[in-house]
Amino acid sequence: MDRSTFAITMSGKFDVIVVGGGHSGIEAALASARRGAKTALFVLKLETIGRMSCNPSIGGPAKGHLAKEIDALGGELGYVADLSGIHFRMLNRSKGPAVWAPRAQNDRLLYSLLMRQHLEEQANLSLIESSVSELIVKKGRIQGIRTLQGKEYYAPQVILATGTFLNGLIHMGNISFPGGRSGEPASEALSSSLLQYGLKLGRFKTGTPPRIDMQTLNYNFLEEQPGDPEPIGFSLYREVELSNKVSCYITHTTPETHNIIRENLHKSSLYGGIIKGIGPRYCPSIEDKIVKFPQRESHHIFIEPEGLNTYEGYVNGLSTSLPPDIQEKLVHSIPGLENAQIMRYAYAIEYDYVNPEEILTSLECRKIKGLWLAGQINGTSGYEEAAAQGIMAGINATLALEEKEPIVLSRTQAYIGVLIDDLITCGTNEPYRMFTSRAEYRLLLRQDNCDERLMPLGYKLGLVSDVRWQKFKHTMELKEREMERLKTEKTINHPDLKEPQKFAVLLKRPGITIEKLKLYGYQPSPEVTPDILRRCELELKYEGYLYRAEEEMQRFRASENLTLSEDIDYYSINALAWEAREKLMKIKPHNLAQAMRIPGVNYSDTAALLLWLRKQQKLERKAE
Amino acid sequence: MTDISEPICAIITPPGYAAINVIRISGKGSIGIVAQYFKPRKKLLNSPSHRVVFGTFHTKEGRAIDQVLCTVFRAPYSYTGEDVVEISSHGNPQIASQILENLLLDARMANPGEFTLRAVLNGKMDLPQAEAVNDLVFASGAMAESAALMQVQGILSQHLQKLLNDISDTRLRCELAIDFADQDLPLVNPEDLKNRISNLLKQAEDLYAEGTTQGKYIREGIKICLVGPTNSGKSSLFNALLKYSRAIVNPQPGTTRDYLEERVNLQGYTIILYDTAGLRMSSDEIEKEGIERTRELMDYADLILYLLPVDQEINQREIDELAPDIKNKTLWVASKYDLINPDLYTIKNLDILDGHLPDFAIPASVYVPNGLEKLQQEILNHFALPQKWVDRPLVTNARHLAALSRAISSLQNALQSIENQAGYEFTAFDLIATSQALEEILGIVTTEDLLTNIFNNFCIGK
Repeated sequence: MDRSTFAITMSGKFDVIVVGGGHSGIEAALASARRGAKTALFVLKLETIGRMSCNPSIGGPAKGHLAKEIDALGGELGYVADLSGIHFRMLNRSKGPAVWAPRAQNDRLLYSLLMRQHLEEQANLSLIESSVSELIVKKGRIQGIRTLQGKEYYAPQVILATGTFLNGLIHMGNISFPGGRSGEPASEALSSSLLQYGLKLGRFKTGTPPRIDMQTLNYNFLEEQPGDPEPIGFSLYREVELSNKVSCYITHTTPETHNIIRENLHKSSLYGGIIKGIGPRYCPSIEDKIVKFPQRESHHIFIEPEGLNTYEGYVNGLSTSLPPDIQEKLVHSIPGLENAQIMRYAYAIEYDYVNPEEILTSLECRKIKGLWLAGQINGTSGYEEAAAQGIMAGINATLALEEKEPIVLSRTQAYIGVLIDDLITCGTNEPYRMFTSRAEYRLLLRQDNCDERLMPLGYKLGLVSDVRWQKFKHTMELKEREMERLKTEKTINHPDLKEPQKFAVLLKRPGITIEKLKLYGYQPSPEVTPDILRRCELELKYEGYLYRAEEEMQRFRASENLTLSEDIDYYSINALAWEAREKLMKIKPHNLAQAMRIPGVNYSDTAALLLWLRKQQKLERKAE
Repeated sequence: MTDISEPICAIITPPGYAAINVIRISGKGSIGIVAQYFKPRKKLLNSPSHRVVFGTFHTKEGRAIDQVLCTVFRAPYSYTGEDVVEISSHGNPQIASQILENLLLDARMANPGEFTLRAVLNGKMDLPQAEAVNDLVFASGAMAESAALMQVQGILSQHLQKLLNDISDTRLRCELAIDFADQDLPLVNPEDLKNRISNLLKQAEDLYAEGTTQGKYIREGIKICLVGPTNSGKSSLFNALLKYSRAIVNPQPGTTRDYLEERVNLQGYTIILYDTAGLRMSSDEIEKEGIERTRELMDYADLILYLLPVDQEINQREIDELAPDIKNKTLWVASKYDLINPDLYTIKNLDILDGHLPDFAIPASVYVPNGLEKLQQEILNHFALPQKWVDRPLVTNARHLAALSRAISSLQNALQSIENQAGYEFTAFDLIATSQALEEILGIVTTEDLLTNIFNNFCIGK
């Protein structure tokens, strides 16, 4: 990068300013600094950098994919999750190889400390504890920010990653008070600054469950859930030693729990009518679950340890906005928790988010050039979702400094691409959480091949170290060689088989795994790791499916290649329905594939658009 | 699909001899191109839109080919939205090809459906309309029209929509198992999943079966072949069904040596009737050939009317030798049934008749009023064809049938994936593929392929 183009002379001047030290801001700041931009990260409190404000856990279905994708691009979330992991499980192991989902329980404090340390050690990066209250904008272009103390900082690129802090309002029963997270102040001024520039804001809510003292549990009534015997983490080619240090515990709600909730529903902020924001359907509060599934007699509750140096436990499944005295009753109605002491009460939080129609797929704000929005501010939920946007905003803000085109990952490339495209193209009317079912090319976007999909890009961008890159390339060579062996070498004579078969052919039979191939004479090459073997197994065993998925992906890419110029006047295309014209004008899709997904643009509109495009191309060709 | 306004031409009437043939040319400069070969030239060049100009069509060398009528349509007021000339020539195919040959010096041969494609490209009609044009061109008989109409009315759409909902409901179970693995949702039961998919498969297969049989009958007509010993009254029946005399009826056995084909309308359904040479041992080479053709037709037909005249002894061996699949699509007809009605005609050979006329044969007579009514009814019954298409989904369009067939094979894969315990993501993949195929019928997806496929279904000239 040509540093002279944005040389820094004055103090208070940066190339990139990142506001917010959560999971999104961290990745944005690191990506920016690693790409050589002089970066400032503004945090409300240095101690709360990388704070896991909800579960002390990273990963799970689709989120594990995101974590591994961020890692392959050269991000930090997966790496620190591995370093601070105290319990590892691979979910969906029994369900399907393409949707295996790594999940870790983390030491909350350690996670935060390590993140802070990594940020402090990063070259080109300044950490500044200060509350940002205002954006400085001139002629539709960002200039910098102003802090609550009135100090101004300047940068041509500013990334906002303020999470739930914008106008945060915490609820516990009928008590409400401003706050960004439990015990931390909200950021009220920034919201009005955004409103001032005409950005449309919405209001969402989310909640947390109570935390309890795990010394006060009766373990006789709890089912232990140990980690996997061979833990698998998120980060590749960084050689983190993983081990399970704690167990989680499973219990369940009882009819008594349900009665307590029904009797006190009116005291809940949510059902008492105090909360106006919309909460995520898939992360419902316990009140929601009881009201919406009245036939269920019991719901699972997971107790997740918060760390190695604390007895605090996270009661997963008991998110609520009921007042503290009811929370006590609730907790005690659960087997094993009869005498549990609550250390922190559950709360619900309402916050402002920026309607994602305000941003482009590069994450740059449509109305203010040089302003980038990333994370929960865009209406998403979850650490991984936030971090994924953070790293992309960091990359694209630095590309903008170099006056280069932004990188927009396609739905065919990564869950990150699916996430951002969904947000911008379809908008969201609840906090957006990633699911594997959102990815059309799920069979190809697997957690086992994140490196194959994204590491070349991460390396090209200078975010992946040479050491990791060399290891990756070596792994690919080994994999290729082993695939070739499996495709060409034959089994021994075996009573199960009429005649010796190629290993790859035998592997396709139901019930045959790569492990079972050993019975038929297969010996993996010495250097080949279990990870490489799993990849070979999957790609060979499900070759037919992967081939069909690939075909479909190619078809989709064809419509992605039909680009739509930004200055098309959709209002002038008479064949389009009026609603479609409005939506297309607002979103300005990059290509036909994106246009097709816009709600309100239906089949006949896309067909009309395609035909219009064809005609246009022909006219252009003629004009040449 | 290259240049959008490049002139294209084609003969748009069916091949063969007819009263007239029509050659269409569409695109930039069409009128000028025709005028080069047409006299009086100026009159054509200056003709307003929607006018017919009479004159002669000449070769490039100036030799007159034919007297023709040119209908001029000026853009955008034409079928394609471009300048169009339709040349009506006399019905000799030679003449039409000569005219076309001359036009091809300046224009390109139109691809199947290209005229309609241009109509769509030029905003003269939308895609569903274009498809309807195709169906209308091929619609034969009142039932075909009403089936097309039903489709418009959305019975099929409603049915497919329900099927799609069921598929999505089934898929949801797979998705829950994958995406909520860390929560306490009810576990998915593979048996339940299997039952659901089997049920979906059955529905799709039924729809397909009806589409390929009844849908095909509506789309293409029902092929019925008249077979029987010589002089059994096939031609009389053929004519009676046709209601006008076409086959040569002659009491001399072996009169009909080849076969005749004619279309008739039976309660709204199109029937393609084949009158065949009588089945009998013959030394006559031509007749032998005819009998061979009869056997081919019997394989090809949807239904065989096997005539067993009441005045002839039944050739049991002949019947026994018929293949089972032929017998399955055969209706036995006791023809010349009037011969055993003493009130109308003299009984000629009642002794022979006794014990020879199988009791499953349908009595038929061309001489008695309503003598064919029972036969007509039995034909409809045989195909289980309802008198009216109400509240029943029916796939009649070939493209839709192909999509349905893809949906079926995807459902079969889904079942397989559960049996092999491959993983729910694969089952979900197959279910998504099923939905996509069905959505294609509903016109929900749009791809380049789809556009191209629709227009490839068209015949040249449309």
